[in-house]
Amino acid sequence: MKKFFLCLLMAVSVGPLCAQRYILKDGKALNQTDVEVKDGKLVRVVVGGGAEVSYPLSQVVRLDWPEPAELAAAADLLAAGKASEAEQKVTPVYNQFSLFAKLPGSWWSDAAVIRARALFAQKKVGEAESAAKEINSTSTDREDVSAAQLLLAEGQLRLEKPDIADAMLDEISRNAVSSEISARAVKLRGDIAYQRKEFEKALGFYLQVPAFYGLCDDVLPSALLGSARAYRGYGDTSRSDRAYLDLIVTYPSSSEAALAKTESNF
Amino acid sequence: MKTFLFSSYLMRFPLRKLLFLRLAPYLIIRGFCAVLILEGALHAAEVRVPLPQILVEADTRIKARQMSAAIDLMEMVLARVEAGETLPDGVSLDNFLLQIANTQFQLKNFARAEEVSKKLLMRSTVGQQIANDARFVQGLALALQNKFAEAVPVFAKLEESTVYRDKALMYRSMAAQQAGQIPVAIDALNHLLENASHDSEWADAALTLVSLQLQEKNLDAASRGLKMLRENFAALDNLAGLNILSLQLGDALIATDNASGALAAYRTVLSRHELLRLQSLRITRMENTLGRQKAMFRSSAVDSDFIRRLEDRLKAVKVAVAEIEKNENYDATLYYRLGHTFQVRGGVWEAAILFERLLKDHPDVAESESSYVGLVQAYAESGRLDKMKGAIDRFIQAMPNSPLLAQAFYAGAQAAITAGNGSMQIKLLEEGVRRFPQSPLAEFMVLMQANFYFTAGKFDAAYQSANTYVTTYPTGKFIEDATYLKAMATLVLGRPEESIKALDIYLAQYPQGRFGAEARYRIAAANYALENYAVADKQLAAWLTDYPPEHPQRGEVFSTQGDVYVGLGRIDDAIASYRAALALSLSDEQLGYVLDELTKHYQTKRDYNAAAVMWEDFAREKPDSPFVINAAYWIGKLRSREGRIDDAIEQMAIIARRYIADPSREAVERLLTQMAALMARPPKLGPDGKRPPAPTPEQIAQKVESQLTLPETRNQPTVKARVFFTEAEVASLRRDNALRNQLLERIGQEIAPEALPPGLLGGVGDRFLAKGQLDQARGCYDYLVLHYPRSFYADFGYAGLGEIAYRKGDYDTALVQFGYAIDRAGARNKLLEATLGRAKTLLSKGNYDASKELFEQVAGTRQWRGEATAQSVYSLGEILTKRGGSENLAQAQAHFQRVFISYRKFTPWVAKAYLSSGETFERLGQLKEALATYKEMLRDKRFTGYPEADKAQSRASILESQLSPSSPAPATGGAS
Repeated sequence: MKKFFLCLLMAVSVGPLCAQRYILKDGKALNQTDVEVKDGKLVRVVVGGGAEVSYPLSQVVRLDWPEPAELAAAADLLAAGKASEAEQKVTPVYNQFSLFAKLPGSWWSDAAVIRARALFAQKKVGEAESAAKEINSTSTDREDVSAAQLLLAEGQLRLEKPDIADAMLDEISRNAVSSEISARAVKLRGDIAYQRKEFEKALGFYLQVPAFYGLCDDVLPSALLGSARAYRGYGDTSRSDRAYLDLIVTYPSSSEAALAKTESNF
Repeated sequence: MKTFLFSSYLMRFPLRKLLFLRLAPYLIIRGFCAVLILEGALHAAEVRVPLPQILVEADTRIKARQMSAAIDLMEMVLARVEAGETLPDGVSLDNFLLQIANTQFQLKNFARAEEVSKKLLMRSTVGQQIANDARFVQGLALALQNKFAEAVPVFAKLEESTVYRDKALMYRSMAAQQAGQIPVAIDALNHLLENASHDSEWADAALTLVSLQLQEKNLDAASRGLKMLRENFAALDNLAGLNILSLQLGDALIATDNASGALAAYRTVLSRHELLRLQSLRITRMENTLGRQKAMFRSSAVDSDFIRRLEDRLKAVKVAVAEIEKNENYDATLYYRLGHTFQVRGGVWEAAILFERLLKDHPDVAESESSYVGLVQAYAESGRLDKMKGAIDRFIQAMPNSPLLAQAFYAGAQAAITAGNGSMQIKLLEEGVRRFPQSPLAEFMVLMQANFYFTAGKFDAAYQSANTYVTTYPTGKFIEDATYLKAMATLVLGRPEESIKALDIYLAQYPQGRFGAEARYRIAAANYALENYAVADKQLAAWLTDYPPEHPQRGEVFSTQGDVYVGLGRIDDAIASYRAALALSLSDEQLGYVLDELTKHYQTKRDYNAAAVMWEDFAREKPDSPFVINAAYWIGKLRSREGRIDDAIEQMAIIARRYIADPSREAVERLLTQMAALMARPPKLGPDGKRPPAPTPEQIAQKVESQLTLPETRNQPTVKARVFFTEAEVASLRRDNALRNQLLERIGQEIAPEALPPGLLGGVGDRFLAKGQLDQARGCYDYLVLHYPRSFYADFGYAGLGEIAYRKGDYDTALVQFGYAIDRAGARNKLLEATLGRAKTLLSKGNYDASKELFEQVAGTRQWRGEATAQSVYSLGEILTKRGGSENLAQAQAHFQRVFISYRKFTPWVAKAYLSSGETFERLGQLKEALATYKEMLRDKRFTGYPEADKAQSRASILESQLSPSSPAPATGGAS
C-alpha cells in the first residue's frame, strides 16, 4: 500500500530555473542581463569600473532560456488570421536568436517557423520562400525543418505545381515526424486534391486530421474548412453545412471560422 | 525574533547551516574533540561532552550526508535536554525538534518522525511557521505508515498555511484517496486546481482528479478535467496515464450514449508513435528535474519525499512506455473506438478512414471483424457504393466464415436502395440470402428482394420472392407484407382475375390490415383492367364513401374513376373526376398523368381556354412543382392556338418573375428559353395581308425587361443576367449570333459569378474560354462545380476546367476533369466535349491506344458529325504518324486527305491536315507529292495567316531547291 501511495504521490517539483543565460564551453553561465551582444561577442561590463570582459560567440554552447511569450502570442495572432501582426510580434525574437540559431536552447527555429507561416499567410511568397529555405538550411530541429519543407510544398501548390508539392510531401512523410507535421501534410494533400477538384480524395485527406490528429488545434480549423468545401464540391451539402457549423462553433475566433461564415449560411 | 527568523528560513536553508552559525565558537575545538565525541556517543555514561560540541559534530555529519550518525547525536542531545540540560544559547528546542523530525523522516523512521513532530506541536511555545513545518512532516509520516485517515485532518489543518496550502491540498487528496474518502480527495484537488499555477505538478493533480471523477462516475466533471488538461498539455508528464484515462472516460461516455463527449475523450488519446515520441521528451525532462533536485541536497522532508516519488513516477512511466513499445497493435483499439464513435455521430467519412487504417495496419486484431462491418456501413451511409462493395469483398476474403457478414450484406443492400442502385442491391440480397439462409437477417433480405423486384418491374421474380417468404416464414414478421406483395405481383403480371382472388384472400386474412384500402382500390383497378367498368365504378364509389377525405390515396382513386368514366364514354364526368384528383395529393407521375389527360380531353372538346386556365391556375397554385415548366409550354401552345401570343408571354413571365432573382432555380433558364421562342416568332400578318416588320433588338430588350423585371428587382444582378440571357436566346433564334455573343459577354463582364445561375455560369464560362480569357472562364467553372455540383449544367464546369488544364499542359488534371464531366455530372450537355477532351489529352500524354479508341468513337457518332469529326479524323492520322512505319504513315495520309476533302469548311483542321499530309509525304520520301501538297495548300487563300501556311511555305521553298528542274512537282497535291 505504501508503495502504491508513493507512486501516486506527485512530487512537489522545483520549477525549471527560468534565468536567461548563455552557457559557455567551460560551463560558465552568463546572465543575459549582465551582458550584451556587441561586435560578434558577448560583452560584460565589470562592476565598479569601465572595464569590459568579452566572450566570443563561438564560446557559447547552449542557451538556458525560457520560451519567449511572444512566440505563443504570435501563434495565436496567426491562428486568428492576423498574419501581419503575428509577423511583427515574432520578428524581434527571430532577430534576437539569429546569432544562436543552431544552439541547443535557442528559440530561433520556433520563431522562424512562425514568421515564415505569417509571411505565407500574407501571400508574401518570395519572402516566405526565402524564410522557409533559411530554416531548411539553418535549423537543427527536425520538426522545424519539416515545417519549413511543408511551407515550400505549399508554395508550389500556390504556383499551381501540385505534382511538385505532392513529391515534396512524400519526402516529408518519409521521415518520422510529429503529429502536427503529419496533420499539416495530410491537410496540404487535401488542398492539392481539392485544387484538382478531386473532392472525394480531398475529403479522404482533410478528414484524417480530425480522425487521427484530434489534438492538433492549429491544423483542425483549416482541415474542417477544407472538408466543408470538399463536401460541397462532392455534392453533399448537408455534411458541408455540418462541417462549416462545427468549425464556427468549435473554433469561433479562427480566421477559418470567419471564412466559414461568409461561405455558408450560418 | 530569533526563533521567527530561524523557523521562517528553515525550509529554505537547511538546519545544519543555522546550527553552524549559532555554534561557530565551538568549531575551534571541534578538531580536538571529534574522536572523543564519537567515542563519547558510545560511552556517554563516562564522558559528558558539552552539548554544543555534539551539535557541531551532528552538523558535520549532516554535511557529510551521514544522516544516521547525525540523528544518533541529535537524539542524544534531545535525551539530555529532556533530562534537564539546556541547549546552547541561540538554539531553540522547537527548531531542534523539527530538525530531528525532518532527519528521522529522511531516514524513513516515520514513526519516530511522527512522534517528534507531534511532541513539537504540543509545545505551547511553538511558532506558527514551525508548527506548519512540523504538521507537514507529521502528515507525511502518518501517510507513509498507512495511517491515511489520521493524515487527512493533519493536512486539512495545514491548508490554512499560505506556504503549505497547495502541498497540503495535494497530500490531503492523496491521503483521503487511500483512506477511501474519495469525495474528500476530489474536494481537495478541486481546491488545489483552482489557484495553483499550471505546471507539471498541477497537471498531475488534474490527472488524478480525472481518475477520481471517473471512479465516482462523475463523467461531466471528468470530461471538464480532460479538456482542461488538453488545454495545458505541455505541462503534463504522464502522457501514458492521460491515454488510459481518456480511453476509460470515452468508454464510460459511449456507454451512456454520449457520443459527442466520448469523441472528445478519444481524440485526446495519443497514437503509439506520438505517445512514444512525446513521452520520451517528457522522460528526459523528468530526468533533468530529478538530476537538479539531487544536486541540490536539502534535508527537508519535502525534498526527500519529492525525490523518492519522482523516481517512482519515472520508473512507472518507463515501465508503461516499455509495455507500449512492445504492443504493435496499441493503436488498433483507439482506431476502433474512434471509428465507432464517429459513426454513431454521423461522421461516416471519418469512420471509414479510421476503419480502413485499422484494417490496413492491424489486420489480425480482434477488432478487425467489427471494423469490416463498420467500414461497410460507413461507406454505405456516405453513399459510396463502389467502395462499400469493395469492403464487402475484402471482408469475405479475409473472414469468409464471419457471422457478421450477413450484417454487411444487409447494410449494403439498404444503402444500394437509398442510392437507387438496383443491380447492386439485388446482387447483395441474393448473395446474402444464399450465403446466410439461417441468419436472422435472411427474412428481411427475402422481403427486400421481393420489394426490389416489384419496384424494378420484375414482377415474376417479385412473385417468386414473395412466395418464398410466405412459404419459408409463414409466421414471419412481414408475412402480411409478403402476402399482399404476392397478390399485387399477380395483378401487375396481367392476371387481374387471379389477383382479385388473391386480394380477396388478403382482405379476408387481414380485415384490419395495413393494406386494406389499397387492396380494395386495386380490386377496382383490376376490374377496370378487365373492362368491368360498372363494377369498378361501384367499387370506387364505395371506396370514396368508406375512406375519409384526407386519405392519401383518394387522388389516385379519383384519377382511376376518371379513367372508368372515359371507358364508359362519360367525358364530362371523367373531367370532373380528374379535376377532383388534381385538387388532392398525387405523386409526380400521377399528377403528370392527370394533367395530360385533362389537357387531352379539353382539346378534344376544343375548350383551349379551359385547358390554358387549368395550367395557369396550376402554375400559380403550385409554383414549386416540376410541372411548372410543362405549364409554361402548354400555356404558350394553347394560347398561341388561340392567337394570344402576348397573353402566353405574360403568363410565362408571371411564373418566371417568381424565381428570377434566385440563382439556384435553374429551371428558370428553360422557362426563359420557351418564352424567348415565343418572342422570336415573326409577327402575324396584318389585316392588310402584310406582315409588319419584326421588332428591333432594342424593342425586344425593352419587352424582355418589362416582362421579367419589377422595379425592386430591376438592378438585382441575377435578374439582369437573366434578362440578358433571354435577349440572347431571342437573338440566337433570330440567327443574330453576333448579338447573342455580345449579350452573353455582357453577362460575364457585368455580373459576378456568385449571382449567376448554373446554366449561365456554364454559358458565360464557355464564352470566356472561346475568347481565351482563361482566368475568367475558370472563375465561372469553379463556382459552378463548387456550388452547383448536382446541377443539370455541372458538366459545363468540369469540361471547361478540363479544357483549361489541357491548354496549360496539365494533362493529369485535364483527364480528371473531363472524366468528372462524364462520371460525376453525367455529361448531359457536354458529352462530346468531354469525350473529345479525354481523347486529345490521352494523345498528348502519348497514350495512343486509349486515345484512338475515343477518337474513333467521336468520328463514328452520327449526331456529332461536324468539326469534332474533322478533329477526330485528323487526330487518328496524327496517332498513326507518331507510331511511324511506312504502313502507318500511308494510313495516316489517308486520314489527312479525308479531312481536307470531306471536311473543307473546318479550315483550322484542313490547314493542319494539309501540313501533316505534306510532312508525311516527305517522311515517305515522296518529295514531289509533298511539294505539290504544300503548293495546293498555299493556293487556298483561306489559310493566309495560319501558322501551318507559313510552315508549308518554308517546306515548299526547301523542297523546290532540292528537287531538280527536270523533275517538276505535280501540279496538284497527292490527294488531288
